[in-house]
Amino acid sequence: MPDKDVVIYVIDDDVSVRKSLSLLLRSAGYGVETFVSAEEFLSKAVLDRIGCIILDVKMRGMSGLDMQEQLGRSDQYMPIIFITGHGDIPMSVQAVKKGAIDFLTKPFDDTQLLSLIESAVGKCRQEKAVLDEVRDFRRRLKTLTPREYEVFLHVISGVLNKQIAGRLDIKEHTVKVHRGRVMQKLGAASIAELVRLAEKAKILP
Amino acid sequence: MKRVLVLYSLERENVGQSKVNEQLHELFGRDTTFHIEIYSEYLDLNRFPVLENTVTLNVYLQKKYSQLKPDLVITVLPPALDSLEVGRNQFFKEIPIIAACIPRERAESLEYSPLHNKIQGIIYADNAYEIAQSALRLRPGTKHIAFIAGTSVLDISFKVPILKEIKRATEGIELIDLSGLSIGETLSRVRSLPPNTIVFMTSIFRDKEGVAFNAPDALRLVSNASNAPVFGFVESHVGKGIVGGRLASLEWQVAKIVELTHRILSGESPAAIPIVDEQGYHMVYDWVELKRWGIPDSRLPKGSIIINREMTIFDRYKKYLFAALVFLAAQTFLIGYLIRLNWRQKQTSLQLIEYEERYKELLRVDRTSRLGELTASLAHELNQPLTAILSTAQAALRFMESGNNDPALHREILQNIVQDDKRAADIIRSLRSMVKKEELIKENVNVVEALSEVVAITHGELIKHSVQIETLLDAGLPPVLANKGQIQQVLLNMILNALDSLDQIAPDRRTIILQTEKSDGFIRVAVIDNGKGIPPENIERVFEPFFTTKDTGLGMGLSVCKTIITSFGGRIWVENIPAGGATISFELPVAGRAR
Repeated sequence: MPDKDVVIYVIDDDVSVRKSLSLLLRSAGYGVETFVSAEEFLSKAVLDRIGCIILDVKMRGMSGLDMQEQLGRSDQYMPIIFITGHGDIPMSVQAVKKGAIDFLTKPFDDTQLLSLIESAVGKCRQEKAVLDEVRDFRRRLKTLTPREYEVFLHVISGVLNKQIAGRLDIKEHTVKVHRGRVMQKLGAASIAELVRLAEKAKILP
Repeated sequence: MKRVLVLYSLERENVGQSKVNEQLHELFGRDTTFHIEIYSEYLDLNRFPVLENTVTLNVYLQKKYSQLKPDLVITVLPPALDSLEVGRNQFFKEIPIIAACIPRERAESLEYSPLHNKIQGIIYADNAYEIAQSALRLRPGTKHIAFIAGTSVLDISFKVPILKEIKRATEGIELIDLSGLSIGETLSRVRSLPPNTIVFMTSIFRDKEGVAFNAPDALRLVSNASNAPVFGFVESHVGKGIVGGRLASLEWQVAKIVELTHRILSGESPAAIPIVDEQGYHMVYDWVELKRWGIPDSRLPKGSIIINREMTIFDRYKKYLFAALVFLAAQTFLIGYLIRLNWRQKQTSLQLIEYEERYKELLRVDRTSRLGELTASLAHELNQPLTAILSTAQAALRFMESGNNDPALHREILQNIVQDDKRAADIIRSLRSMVKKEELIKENVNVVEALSEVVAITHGELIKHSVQIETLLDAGLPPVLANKGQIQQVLLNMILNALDSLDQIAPDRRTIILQTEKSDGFIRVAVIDNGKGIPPENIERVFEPFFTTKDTGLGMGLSVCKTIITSFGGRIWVENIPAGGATISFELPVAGRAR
């Protein structure tokens, strides 16, 4: 049974589709929010929960693809499942290439949709966790002193303590102390984890 | 004013005398020189011969006319003249006398008359010789001549000179004298005349037994009984049984009487005027007698007049026959013309039916081809509610499996299914109404409703082309008298044309506005697009058949639209919008308003 906190965003300009998907998803235990257009979604939706988007490819006003692009440029993440009634296969393929979970052609079976949603929600959960980790990591980074940050940048570059001491013109021991503080402040158990977190946070030495 | 007394020898009813009387009145009536007043006396001396040789008649006349003394006396036929002479009356001696219709001998003996210095005569029936000869020419091979006359003074006065002439003309031919017999004897004799006989008859005013006749009646009896043709001597006997000939004319007699009257009244002495020789004749023959005796027309002298010609049915009714023939011909022509007209009308109506069928077919082809363009988007439009129904139903199953039996929820689910199903059914219905075979029925059409259905089936196509559609529809419009399917066809064409013209416009700017309004008894529908507009050089031609600027399509769409709208008494037109785009509009009269 899916988590009640999981929310599915249904964006379609067709009221029948919105209503029916809403019912189907509720019957499967999901929370549902519906929007008549991409514009409405972008202006109103708060993407702070786990879930996914079910998006009509072709709509009045902004199309589904355009919305995917805009969403991708933001720091929000929410996986998208496209639905299409027009059989716009090339458009759908393009959407998948740009990171959509998959696309479904109307009419679709409930199990098909629900299993896609399940994997999308899984991915969301995963991505959300990564994002949370990165966000936490960034928050922690800000607690480092300038000297500690310099040491951190050298450490993730794989520079040895002795060399660091040489480059920063400090004692090797001092480097060790800074290094221990960095590891503690950033909550990393090992150098390997530190490197991974730095990579996720897109921090390049 | 001059007074003229006319003394007729016979009774008033005698045909010849009547004719004389009639003509005298006519000619004297016309006279303006003397203002002649005519007094007529019918002495009837044939039936009453007792008066002829007495002075009684003269005394009577003198008494009668003493106050109105005539300026001139005219006697007609010899007996009246005779009675004047017998009277030797002073009264009449002083009055000039014209003795008309007397034989030559009588005229020539007038100089011995007691009245001689005041009298002048006009000879009558003087050409017996010529008549006899001409009769012989008509009956060549004649071997016998029969001669008939009566016994009265009048009969004898003409018989004598005429018989003399006949004898002269028929010398060598045996004469059978039947004159002076009783009428019975006469008739029995003429019944058994020998072959090759011809009969001459002057008159029978009285027969041997003293029976008086109207001469023409006696002539008729004789002619009917006779086995040979009868010839006579005066014009008034034609038609009474004589064959005819060059006969003495009474008309001429009268003309001469009038001429002498003028001369005498002008002061000329009658005695100084010579006897008037007869000159007036008519060449007259009776057709019935000619036929009866087998005398061919070719034997008649030139210039003959044939009377009594019994016309054949054709002759008699020639005018009518001709008229009838003309009428029949005209009628036949008319009937023919009408039949042809009817035939052509039939052909035309057959042709019309055929054209109508073709027109309907054209409409249908146009519509189905336009609808064909919509196939993909229509499939989408149907797919939407079908998808919704499927999802909703599956949702219901899931709720049931999970034990959720909330009646409100299930009602919502079922209501959604019903709605979606109706939506699908509506699309199918609209589509079917537009594709079905044309029945050109006029009905009250709600334009807004018709338009809404067209919008419903073009919805998907509009979305596919990212076209924003705006409607400014007045739901309260009165209906128009038209055919719903055809109006929808027009609307479909208008909308799809607008859609095509938006091709080159950025997708987020494509807009079509549908507008309806009522103005002055008309419903106006406009489809406005913000597309590329119509090139000015084409704006006049867009309604022409086969005019198209597209790579596909027949170019029939707008031409069909125009035909449809015009057939319902409306008009359709296009205009460019200066800011870009075009408006195509039509207007139709509100139902119940005759244009």
